[in-house]
Amino acid sequence: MASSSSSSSCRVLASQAFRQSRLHFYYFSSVAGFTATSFRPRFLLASSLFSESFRCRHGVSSVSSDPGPLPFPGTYYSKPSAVHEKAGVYARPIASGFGKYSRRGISTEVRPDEGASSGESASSEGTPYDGSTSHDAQGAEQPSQENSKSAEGPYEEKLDEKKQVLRAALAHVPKLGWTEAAMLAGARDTGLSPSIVGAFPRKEAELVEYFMDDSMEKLTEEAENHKEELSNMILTARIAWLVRSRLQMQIPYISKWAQALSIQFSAVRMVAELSLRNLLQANPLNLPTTLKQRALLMDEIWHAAGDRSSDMDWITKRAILGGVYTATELYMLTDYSPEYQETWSFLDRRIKDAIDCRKTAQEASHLAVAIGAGLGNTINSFLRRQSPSGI
Amino acid sequence: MTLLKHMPISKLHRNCRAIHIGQRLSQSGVTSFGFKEVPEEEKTRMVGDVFKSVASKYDLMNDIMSGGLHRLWKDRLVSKLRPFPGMQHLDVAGGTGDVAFRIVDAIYTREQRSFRGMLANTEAKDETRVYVCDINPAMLEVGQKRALDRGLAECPALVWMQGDAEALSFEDGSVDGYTIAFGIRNVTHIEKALKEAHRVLKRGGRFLCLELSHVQFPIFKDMYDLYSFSVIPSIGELVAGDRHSYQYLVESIRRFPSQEKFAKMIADAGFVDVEYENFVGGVVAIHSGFKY
Repeated sequence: MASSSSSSSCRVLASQAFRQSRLHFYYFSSVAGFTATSFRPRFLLASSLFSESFRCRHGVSSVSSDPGPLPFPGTYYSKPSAVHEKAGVYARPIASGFGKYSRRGISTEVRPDEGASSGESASSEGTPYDGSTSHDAQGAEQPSQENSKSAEGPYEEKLDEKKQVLRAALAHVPKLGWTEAAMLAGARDTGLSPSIVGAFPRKEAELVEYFMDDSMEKLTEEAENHKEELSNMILTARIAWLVRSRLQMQIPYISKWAQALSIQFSAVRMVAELSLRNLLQANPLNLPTTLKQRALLMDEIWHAAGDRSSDMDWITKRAILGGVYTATELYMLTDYSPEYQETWSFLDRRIKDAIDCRKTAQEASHLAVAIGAGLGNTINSFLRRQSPSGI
Repeated sequence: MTLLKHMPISKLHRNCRAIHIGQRLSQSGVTSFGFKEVPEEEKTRMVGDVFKSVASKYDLMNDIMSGGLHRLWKDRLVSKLRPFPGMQHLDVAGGTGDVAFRIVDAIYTREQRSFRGMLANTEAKDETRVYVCDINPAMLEVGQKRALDRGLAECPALVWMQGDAEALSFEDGSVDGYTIAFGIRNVTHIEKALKEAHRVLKRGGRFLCLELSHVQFPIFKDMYDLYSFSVIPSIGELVAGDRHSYQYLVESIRRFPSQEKFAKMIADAGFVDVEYENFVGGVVAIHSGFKY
């Protein structure tokens, strides 16, 4: 009995560790994306980000004239145009040398039908995402049974009431911001005593988290509703569509979204400012939940886009998308163009950059294979010449 | 009963026999008064006598016994409650006004911070009511005197009233918050008081209970027992001139249900999201619950 329970707890620990290690990667990429886009422009990219946002502010809309893509945070820092040219130079001989490796378009990289068929097979086995969540559920149950201090009670009811309050509070966010005042107003709207705000120990952070969760559910629904449309799109368009529909959910709250970000990333802000006052204030640490939610969102987008990979790419894809998403989210804050056209074109450019970068990497690996093959032939022939007997 | 009375106290509270006997007797209309068993109707009067005799020195004694910590515990209780303008609050067994003053202060300072205009409307502030309810007029007098000293005598938000925690004169669903600090231990029927709290609270309202509770850590527990059974009655004799009241105090703490058991009782009364927070290793615990 004891051994079985210890082995099961070991399994839970191991699965948690596995999940953690993956999430940490997300955390890193997401934070890198955030810090890079928010702080780097001042030091490294003075021109690109500022010039773009500046232009938008003055309403000189220039969607068509691309001033050169902004280096995509977390992937490369050198001037992108130079990378592109090099990529082109490398690409041509490889493409000509290896017919089957011809420069595949982005569109054919993951074909929708291919994604769908592999998705069916993968879902029966359990994708890495599904697997980790089921382990997570197991892991979450066990400790709660052991060291929960709460007495038993009708929990489902409680969740509903709390969610009602948060949902009602969202209506007050555009006016009152992500504050306790909005939550109090939300409680009044639902006819509950505002004392219920005491049931949210991390205060307004839980409101932001609720919004993030809720939006992700909506995104999943929307992706489900537009399945047909999505399957007719190429991969980049699918990703762009999903990111765009997710970001559109933030439009009602855009004037207060900077505040939401500051709540979500309060730890990053604290470290960045290195302010003793901030550190001493009993600020609840919201960062872990924030990053987890963002990681899951990236996973959801890739999932909805039909990605079923489970190799190393699985991590890089989500990390890169995390960067694209965060950069666009920040760009959106200062976008005053009608219907956020600037933001969507910014998003398209970022995705294009990411795909270009990926192609560059692929082509580099093909080159390495080619060189390796060439070397192999040389050595082979050299050896053959050394031993004329043909041993 | 006389046997229980003459047994060494340190042995008695350890072997739990008294508690079992107490439970058996409570069915036949007998309840505990410290380690003694008294008829139920007697307990209310006896507790009343205790507080009548210590009312004047109550605050001083609290400061001495807890080393001033009871102020921090009460601060924590109010910060957990998160009072808001327009709140209807009921503080039971709060005759000296310690908790009520803190709630009023919290609401008024928050009002000054003004919540970006939304809650700055003065009518919400005018609607704020903190009802201080105590069964003992002597304790209420102490509280009213202290309100005068604090300049809160004219405060419309403070309402002083005599009342029994087991039969409150409030309508169903009429208050946002219910606190009881160091009081529920002295109530004859704890279950009844909890039911009553549940009745008067609005949906979404919060129940908070600050109470002396049980220490779990072995060595600290022994030190705490030594302190409470040897030191506190002596201090009571020296300062308040009443040894028996403080003997009752420490005994009633031992008879009070443990944190887990009390949390279960709160949940049984209909509260959800019940949790508790220990202070100083369990000397004091704040129990919290919501009514939905």
